[in-house]
Amino acid sequence: MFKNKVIISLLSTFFIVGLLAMVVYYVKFRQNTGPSHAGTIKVQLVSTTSTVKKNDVFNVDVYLDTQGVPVTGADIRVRYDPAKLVATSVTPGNFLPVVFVPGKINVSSALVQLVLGANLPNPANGTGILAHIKFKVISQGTRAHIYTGPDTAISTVGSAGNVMGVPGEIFITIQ
Amino acid sequence: MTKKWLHILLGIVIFAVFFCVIQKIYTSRVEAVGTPNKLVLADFYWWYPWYGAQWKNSASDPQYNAAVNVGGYLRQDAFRYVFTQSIPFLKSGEHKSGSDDTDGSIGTAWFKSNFSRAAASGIDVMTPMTRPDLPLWPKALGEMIRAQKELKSEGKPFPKLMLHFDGVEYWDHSKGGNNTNLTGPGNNFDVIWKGTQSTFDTIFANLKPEELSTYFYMYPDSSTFPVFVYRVEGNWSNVKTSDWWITQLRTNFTKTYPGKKLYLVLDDLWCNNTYGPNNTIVNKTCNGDNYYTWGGALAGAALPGHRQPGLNIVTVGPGFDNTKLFGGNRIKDRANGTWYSSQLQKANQLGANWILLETFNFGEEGTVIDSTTGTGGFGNTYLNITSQFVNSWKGIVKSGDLNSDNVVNNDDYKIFLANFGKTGAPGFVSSDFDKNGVVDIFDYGILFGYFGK
Repeated sequence: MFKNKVIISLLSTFFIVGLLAMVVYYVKFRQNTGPSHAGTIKVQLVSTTSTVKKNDVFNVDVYLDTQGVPVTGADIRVRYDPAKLVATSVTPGNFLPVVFVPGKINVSSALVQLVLGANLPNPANGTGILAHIKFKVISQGTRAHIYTGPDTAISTVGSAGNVMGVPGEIFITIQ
Repeated sequence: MTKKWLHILLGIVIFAVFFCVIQKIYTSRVEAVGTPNKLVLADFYWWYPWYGAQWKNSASDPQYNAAVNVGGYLRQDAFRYVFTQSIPFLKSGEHKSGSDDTDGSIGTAWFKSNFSRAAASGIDVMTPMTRPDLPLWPKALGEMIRAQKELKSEGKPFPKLMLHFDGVEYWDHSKGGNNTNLTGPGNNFDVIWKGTQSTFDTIFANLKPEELSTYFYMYPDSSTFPVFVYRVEGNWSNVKTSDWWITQLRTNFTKTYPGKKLYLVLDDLWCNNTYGPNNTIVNKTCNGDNYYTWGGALAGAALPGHRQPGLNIVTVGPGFDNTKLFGGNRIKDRANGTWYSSQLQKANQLGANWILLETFNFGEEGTVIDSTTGTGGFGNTYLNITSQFVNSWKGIVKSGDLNSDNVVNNDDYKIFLANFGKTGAPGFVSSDFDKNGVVDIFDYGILFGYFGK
């Protein structure tokens, strides 16, 4: 009887240890193949001016700061208030030289989009300009908000998903 | 004490086995690629080297002309597109000036090349159009098997074979079958049976029993040969047919080749429709083992009206153009591959298990997916579309190797660029590596990860 108890307890111990080992194995596997955490990659919107008046045309540059993460592509969506501004042109910068989707402006939905990629096999790293956007002011006596939408996406090497960190935004005072 | 340690040892062994089994199950689940019964087949016209093709001189001269030997190769006038790989001109009753090819090396080399391109494009099975009425069919069939064996010995991939009975009305040259019945025993059935028998005699003469499933696709078990059967009386007139002969063919086969069976996949017309002004299928008992609908290249992918549950067979082609044939006036524009791609996708949506490609190389009807060249040629476009579709359809992650040349390089990058932005069922476009239904920057990131490997 005692022997049986010992055997059962030993087997149970082995079973539990084994179960733990499998859980560890499974978790480890998931970590190896699952998406990694998004970094603190930043998109920044920079304008040469902070104050404009009606009918002025001004530039906004879209910067990407990869924060050390090798970036392979960017799907940039810049939005603005259509009652105050209208985007008139968009041209890609040189930080991600492969142009998948050249700059598109959807005036009615006040959306500027372009999709870019790094040159294979060298992902982009550091800070650089993704796009130059020109806006025309169509109102006065207010403040305009320009920002990258939540649907902006940044990709890195492998299958990590969207590694976009901090979105960009800028406020322009309209006299 | 010894007993106690034995029990402990037993416990460890039990646990180890348990752990290994669990690990194996999990690993196999993760590594599983594709669904086993997803199969891509392609109709293969084997006879060109010996018999050329049918072609007319001009609209005003509707005579079919003999194939022409130009420096040992078939002049390709009959084809809507010119094959990139030259077709050898080999001696036959019709080709007096052809090369002898006594040892079969020229024919075998041509088959090897075709089979290699097919395999590289993801084609699992070649379905040679079975024509036992042509005297060199047994020789050609033997060379096809030899080509497979040589590719195997060289460590190269090759497609398996499955027979496609191509209009058995052709098999009876002496009679033609006009004004007759195929509703019971008689000469018309005898022609079909004898052709079947001579074909399988050739197969069994070239392959040992244990080799059959290596070189022929067997279904649903390793003793059964699936065979496609196109309509019977296409070129006959005033014929009444029934599917009586299907049962008889199975019976004769099993009696002649004990332990072996046929799985007969009939053109849907056998069960569903009458066709042709003078032909009638009577006594439709729908006794095929399964059905397919010939004509996907022209009419689009479609499920046959009757089919066996669990095995949907759909035909797909790149387009159609038979204007090189006398009386041919049907064209389905290829639309630069978009028709083919869309029909492959449709086959997927229809739940196809087997996709029969019409065709690998049928030049006269312009349904070729093999590489073509010259004015109007399309290079490897259709082989590449095939490969990309197959990889996606079967869920094979090719690690960015979109053109299946075993290296991820600029050529794959170009394919990726062409696919960028495309949408479809998750994973449908081969570049949709993450299977989210669109080729986007995340797929590009994955391509980066594999680039140069």
